[in-house]
Amino acid sequence: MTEVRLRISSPWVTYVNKLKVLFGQDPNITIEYDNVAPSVTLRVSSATKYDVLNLVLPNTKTFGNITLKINVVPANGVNTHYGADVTKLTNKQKVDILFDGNPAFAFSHEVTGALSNTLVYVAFKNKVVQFFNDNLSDVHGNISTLYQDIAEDLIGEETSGLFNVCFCTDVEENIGKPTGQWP
Amino acid sequence: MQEVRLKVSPPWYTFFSSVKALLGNDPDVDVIYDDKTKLIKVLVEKSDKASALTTLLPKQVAFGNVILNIQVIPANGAFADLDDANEEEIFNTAFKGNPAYAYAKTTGGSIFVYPATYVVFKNRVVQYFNDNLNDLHGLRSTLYQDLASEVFEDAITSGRIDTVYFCTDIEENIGAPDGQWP
Repeated sequence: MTEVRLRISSPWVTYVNKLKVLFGQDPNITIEYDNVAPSVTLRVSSATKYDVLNLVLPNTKTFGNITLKINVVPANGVNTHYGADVTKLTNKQKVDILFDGNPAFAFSHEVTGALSNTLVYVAFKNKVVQFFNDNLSDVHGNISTLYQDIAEDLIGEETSGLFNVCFCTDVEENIGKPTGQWP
Repeated sequence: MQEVRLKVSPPWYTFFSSVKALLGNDPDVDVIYDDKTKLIKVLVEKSDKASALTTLLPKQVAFGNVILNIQVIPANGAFADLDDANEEEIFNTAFKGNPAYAYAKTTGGSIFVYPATYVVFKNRVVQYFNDNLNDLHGLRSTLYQDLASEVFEDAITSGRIDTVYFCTDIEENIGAPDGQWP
């Protein structure tokens, strides 16, 4: 009889995978996962980016009786740039600092909403995002998704406090509008 | 005071857009929507493809008190007999020539392992206009696998097809070629 070995990634591993996909390509951020604690450490070489990332990510994330610790650490002893004043930045300033230099990011744009509120659209690159996750519903065990959905999971308004920020995907050229530009 | 006009697509129109994004690029298929009768007509050149799509598509979808009807119409008026076709054959027939589709693969099927069919779509971001206020162009951005889960949900829940997983083909840079079972 053939032995079948089933492996399924724990939800906190999936969470770490999403962090790696959204922030791990940024040359200013390195991500380390400790399976024993469990904890994930994001080392940030830019002081301004450290301030914003530390603001928008939670300190812990609970999955049933497992708590994942999330440490945001300024690399090379770089200290905070804004300190407590980081909360005074506008949402557009926050997302621009957060995703500056990140290849997943296309652009952001601030508009006045229908209720005279300020909306910030954060557009990510037009790309199918895939990462291995022991997903039994997928032929290769991957999760296939979009950057906009990962961003909503990780830094949606409930966890990050980034209210009136809409995560979306840049258009392809064949839709009739150029990529990387506000319509 | 400045007048602001808000437009939002109703959910049945979103459903039509999903069907069109999934099937409308097939040269054998035309997807037409009539808002007055709330009817989606799926016009199909081939009778076997029409039969496969009849198996997969719902006849009606309810959105509150609005009923959306879906009608598959073969060009020659005749449906082929697909009664003995398995899930892999049904999807291969329904999506033959459709640029959204990569391949289908059935695993298991022994006395120990229940068969499961993976239906794999092309690695591509799907976008269509949907008056989406969360998007800067009003678009909905999604994947073919998610559209298929929505559009074919009734076929799965009603048991017309069994144990089917919709997924997305990998890119070459992940380490395995496109369009192949690993």
